[in-house]
Amino acid sequence: MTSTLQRPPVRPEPPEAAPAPRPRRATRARLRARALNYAWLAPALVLSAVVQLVNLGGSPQRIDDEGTYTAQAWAIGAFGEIAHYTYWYDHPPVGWIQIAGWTGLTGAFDRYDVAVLAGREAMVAFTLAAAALLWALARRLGLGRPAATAALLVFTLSPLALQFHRSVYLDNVATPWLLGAFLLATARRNQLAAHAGAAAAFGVAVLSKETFLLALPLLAWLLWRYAAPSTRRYTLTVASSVLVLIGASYLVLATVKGELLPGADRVSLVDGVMFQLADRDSSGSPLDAGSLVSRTLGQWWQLDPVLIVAGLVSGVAALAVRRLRPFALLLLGLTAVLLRPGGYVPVPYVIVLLPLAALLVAGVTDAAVRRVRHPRGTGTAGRGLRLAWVAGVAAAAVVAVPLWGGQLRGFLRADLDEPMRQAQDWVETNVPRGSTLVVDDAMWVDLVRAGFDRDDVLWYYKVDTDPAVAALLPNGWQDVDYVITTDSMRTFPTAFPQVSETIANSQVVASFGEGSTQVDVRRVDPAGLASADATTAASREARARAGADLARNPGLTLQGDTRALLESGMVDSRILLALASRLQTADVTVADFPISLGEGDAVRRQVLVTAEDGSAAGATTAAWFADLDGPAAPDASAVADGGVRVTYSVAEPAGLLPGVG
Amino acid sequence: MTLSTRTAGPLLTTARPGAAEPGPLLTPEPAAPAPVAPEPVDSGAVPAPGTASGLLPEWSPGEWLGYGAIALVALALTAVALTTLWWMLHAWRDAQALTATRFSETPRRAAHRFTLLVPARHEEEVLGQTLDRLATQSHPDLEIIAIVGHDDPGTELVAREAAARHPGLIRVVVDDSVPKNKPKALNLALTVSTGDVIGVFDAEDEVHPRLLELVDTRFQETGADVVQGGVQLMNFQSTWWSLRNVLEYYFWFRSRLHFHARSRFIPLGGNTVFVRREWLDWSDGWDDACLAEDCELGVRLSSAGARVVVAYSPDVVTREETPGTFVSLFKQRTRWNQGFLQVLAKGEWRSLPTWRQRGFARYLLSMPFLQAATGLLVPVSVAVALLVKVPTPLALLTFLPLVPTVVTVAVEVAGLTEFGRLYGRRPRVRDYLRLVLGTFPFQVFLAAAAVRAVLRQLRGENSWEKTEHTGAHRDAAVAPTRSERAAVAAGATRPTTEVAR
Repeated sequence: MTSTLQRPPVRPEPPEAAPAPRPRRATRARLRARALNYAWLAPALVLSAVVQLVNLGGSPQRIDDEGTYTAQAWAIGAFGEIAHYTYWYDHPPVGWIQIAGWTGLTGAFDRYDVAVLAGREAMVAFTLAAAALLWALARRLGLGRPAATAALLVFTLSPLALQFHRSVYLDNVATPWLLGAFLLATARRNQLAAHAGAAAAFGVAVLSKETFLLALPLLAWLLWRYAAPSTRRYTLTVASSVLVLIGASYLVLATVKGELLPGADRVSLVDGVMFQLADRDSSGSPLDAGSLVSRTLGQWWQLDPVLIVAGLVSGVAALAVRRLRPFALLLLGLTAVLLRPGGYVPVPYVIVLLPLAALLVAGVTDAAVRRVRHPRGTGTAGRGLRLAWVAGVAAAAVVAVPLWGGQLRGFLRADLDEPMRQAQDWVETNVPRGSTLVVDDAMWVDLVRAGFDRDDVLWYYKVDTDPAVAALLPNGWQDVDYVITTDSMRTFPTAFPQVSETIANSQVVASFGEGSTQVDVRRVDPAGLASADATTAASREARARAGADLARNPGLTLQGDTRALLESGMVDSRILLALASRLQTADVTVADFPISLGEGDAVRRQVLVTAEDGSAAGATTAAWFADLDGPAAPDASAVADGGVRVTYSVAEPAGLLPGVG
Repeated sequence: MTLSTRTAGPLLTTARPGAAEPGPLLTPEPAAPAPVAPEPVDSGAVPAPGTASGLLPEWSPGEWLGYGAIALVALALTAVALTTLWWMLHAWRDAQALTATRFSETPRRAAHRFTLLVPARHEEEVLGQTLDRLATQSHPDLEIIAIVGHDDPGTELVAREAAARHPGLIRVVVDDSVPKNKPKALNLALTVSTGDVIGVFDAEDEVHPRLLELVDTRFQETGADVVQGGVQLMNFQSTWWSLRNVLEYYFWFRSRLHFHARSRFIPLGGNTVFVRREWLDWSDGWDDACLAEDCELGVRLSSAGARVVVAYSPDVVTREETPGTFVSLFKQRTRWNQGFLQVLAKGEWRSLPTWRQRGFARYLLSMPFLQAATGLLVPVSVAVALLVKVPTPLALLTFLPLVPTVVTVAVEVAGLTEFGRLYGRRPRVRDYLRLVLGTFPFQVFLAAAAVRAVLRQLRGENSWEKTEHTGAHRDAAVAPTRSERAAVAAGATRPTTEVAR
C-alpha cells in the first residue's frame, strides 16, 4: 500500500450539512408580555421623574455633604484630581466618579448656576435606574405587575424617599448597583455571566458607598440559592473572585499612590478605614432624645411615618413568604445595625432601606391578595390574617394619602434653598476676591467658579482636620475674612474648635432665611469682637453727628423714618457725603434708606431719592450720582421704585467721617 | 459742622458734580487701609469644568506615545485573557448548557456501522490491551483496523495476535510509507474501511465499552456530520506540569471545544473523533503534510459547513496519560503549535462564509501564541505599574490583565476539585499549591514552545520529532502518550486551557 491516496483532480461539492434544528418560540405571547411590562413601567417612571425633577433645586435645602460629593466630582473634571482637597480614603471614590461621569457626559455643570444641582440631576438618573431595577426585581420575585408598580411608586414618591433621593448622596449612586446585583443574582439563564455581573455590580455598589457591604450576606445567599447545583461551583468561584478583585482594586489604588499604610505626613487607606470603623463618634442611643441618632430617626419619622411602620411590619410578615424572606432578613438586619447601641449612624443610611421596604410592602400585600382571591388549603386563621393585612394596607393608604400629599406639595413648591442662593449672591456681589472665606461645602464650587481662588475658599470641615488647610491660616481665625454659616456648621459647635472660634470673633453682616435654613454671612474682625464692637459704636456715633447735621439742611426733605435713621447713625458715611454734595445744587427729597437684602438692621448703604427741586427724580439725578468718583462713588445708581436708588458697596471706608472706623 | 447750610464752606468745598478732590471733611485724616480692599477678580484661576484642559492631561508627545502603548498592551492582554477565560467556562454558562454537553442518557438503537482506526508505532506494550478493550464495545456493528509500520515487527505481532483473538472484528494494515506519520497511516486504512462512520483512537487509549453506542445516538439525535468525544488525561498527581496538562484537557474537552462547535469553527482532536464517511471522502482523508492533521481536518470540515458536535460525559471519556517527560510534553506542544501555524498559513479557513467567522478563525488559530505572550506579559505589566512612575489611572489600567488571570486561577482550583470528585481522586493540598505556583512557570513553558514552533516553521523544519526515546522513558504503569502521538488539535495554551488533541 502506498501512503498517499489517488485524489480526484476536482474537489467535489461538500456533502450537505445537516440543518440545525430550530426551536419554535411563542413570540406573540412574549411580545404581548413585553408590551404589558412597558405599559405599567413607563407611566410610573415618568411620574417618578416628574416628581423628582420639579423644584429639584428648591427643596430640600442644600447641605454640606451634597456640596462635598459635588465638589469632588467637579474636581475630577476641573482639576484632574479625585477630590477638591487631599483625598484621604474617607470613602472609596467610585461614587463621585460616576457623578462626574454624568456631569461630564451631559455637561451638567454648565447648565446650572448652583453646582450641587448638577449633582442632584445625576441623583435623579440614578434613582430612576434604581426604580426600574426595583420593578424588574419585584417581577423576578413573583410580584404581579400592579404590585411591582406599587413598589416602584412607594420607592420614588414617599416623602422620606424623595428627600433623600434628591440629595446628592453616594448611597443613591450605589442603590441601582445593589438592585442590579440582586436582579442578576436571581437570574435563571446564563447564570455564569449573570452571577459574575452580580458580583461586579455589588463591587461597584460597595466602592460607591462602603456601607452597602452590609448586604453581602444576602447577595451570597442569593448566589448560592439560585445557582443551579451543576454549575454552582463555577458561578460561585467566578463571582467571589470578581468581588474580591474589585475590592482589591481599592487597595491597588492606594498602593499605586503609595498611600496604603499609615505614614508621617500623609493620608493612607488604613487611616481612612480606621476612621470610619473606630474613630467616628457614636450617634448615641435611639432612646436618648438628644442623641444624633434620635434626631436622625426623628427627621425620618417626620417625613414619612407610614412607610417606616409599614416597612418594618412588612419585614416581619415577609418572613412567612419564602421568596421574600431573604430580603426581609436584610431589612431587619440593617434595622438592627441601625439601632445598635453606641454605633455611628450616617444620616443617609435610610437610603438602602427604602427599596427593601417598598419591595416588601408590595410583596406581602401581593401575596396576601392572591391568597385571599385564590385560597389554597383550609386554614381560616391564615385567611383571616391575610384579610387583616389587606385591610391594614388599605388603612395605611388612607393615612398616607393626606400625609404624602402635604409633604409632596412642600417638595414641589417650597424654595428652602433660597437663603443659600441669596447668601451666595451676597458674597459674590459684595465680598472682594482675595478674601479668605470659611464656608459650607454646599457653596464651595459656586464660589470658586465665581472667581474666588480655591485656596481662599475653605471648606469649614477642613479647617480643623486638614493640616494643609490649617497651614493656609498661620494666624488662625485672624486670617479669615468671612465665615458663612449654615445649619450643618451650627450643628456641631464643639467638633470644630477653630471654626467655632472664628465664628465667635465675627459679626453677622447679612442673614438670609430663618430657622434651620438660615444662612449667615459673618465678617471676622482680626482685632477681635470687642474691638469690632467698640469701632462699631464709635462709627455709629460719628455718623449720627454728621447725619443730624445733614438733617438740618433746609434743602433736604426727609420722608418716613429717614430722619431717625440719619440721626441714629444708621446711614453710611458715603451717602452722607453724596447727599451733602448734591444739596449744594439742588433740593433733595429722600423717601427711604432701603435695607439691602439680608442685611437686616445694619447700617444703610442705599438711598432712595424721589424728588429734586420739587420734581420727580429721574435719569439726570441717577447720572449725577453715578458720575461721582472718589470714595463717594456708588456701586450702582438707577431709576427704580419711583425714584433713584443709589447703592454703595458693603465696605464702608474708614475715616471718611472723623471717627468712622 | 455746617452740613446744614448750602454754603457749606470749608466743609463742602467739594466742587459740584464730579468733584474729584474731597474737601477737608472728606479727608480729615489719612485713610487707614480699608479692612477689605477691593481687588480685581482673579478670574481664570480655575479652569472651567468641561474645558479641554480639564479633560485631557497635558503630556508631551513622547508621554502620549509611551502611555498610549502601555494602555494598549494592557487592554490587549486583558482581552486575550478574558476571551480565554470565557471559552474555558463556556460549558458552565448555565445549567442547560452543561446538560447539552453530555451524551444522551437514553441510547437509541444502533443505526451506523463504525470503523475504528488505531494507528500504532512502537507501542507493543499497550496496543494489545487497547484492542482487546475496543473489541468489548457494546455497539453491534463495528470493525477495528490496527495500522502498524512495516519496520515495527514488535507492534505488528501484538496487533496480529489481537486480530487472531477477535476474528472478523479486528484487521491489521501494514503501512510501508517513508517517512511515516499518523495521517498517512489513517489515509491508508481509510481505503479499506467499510463503516459509514470512521472513528480514530490512539494505541494507549482507554475507551469506555458503551462509547460507540452513545456516539451513534448522538449522530442520530443531532444529525451531526462529526462527533468529537471527550479525552481526558488522568495523572494529575504525577508532577506539577502533568497537573496543569490534565487541567488543560479537562477544560478543553469539557468546555471549550463545545464553544468552538457552537461557533461552527472547530479544530478536532486526534482521537475519539468520529466522522461520516462521505465527509472523509470529500476531504480526501487527512492532510499528511500537516503536523496537526486532526486540527486541519476540523478546520476544513467546519469551513465547508459540516456540523460538528462535541459530547463529554465524565464516565465515558477516553482516558490517557500525560507525556512521560517534560521534554516530550515540550516537543508535543511545539508540534501542535507548529501545526496550528501550518493550518493558519494554509488558509482553508478563508472560505468561511462570514467575516466574523474568518476573524474568529484567525484569532483562534493564533491563540496559542497570543496566550503565551499574555502569560509572560501580565507580570511585566504589573511590574511596570509598580516600578515605573506613571499617572495613577494608567497604573491602575496595567493591573487590569491581572483580573481575568486571577479569576482563571480560581476557576482552575474549582476545576481541580471537580475533577477529583468526578474521577474519585481527591486532590491533595500539595496539588492545589502546585496548581497555583505552577501558573507562571507553565506560562514560560508555553511561551517557549510557541517560540520554538515559530522558529521551526521559519526554518522549514517539518519533521514529526518522533523521538525514539519515548518508548524508553515509558513505564509500564504510566501508559505512554508518546510525544508522537498524533497531532493534536488545538493548541491552546495559556492560563488554562489547552489543548486538545
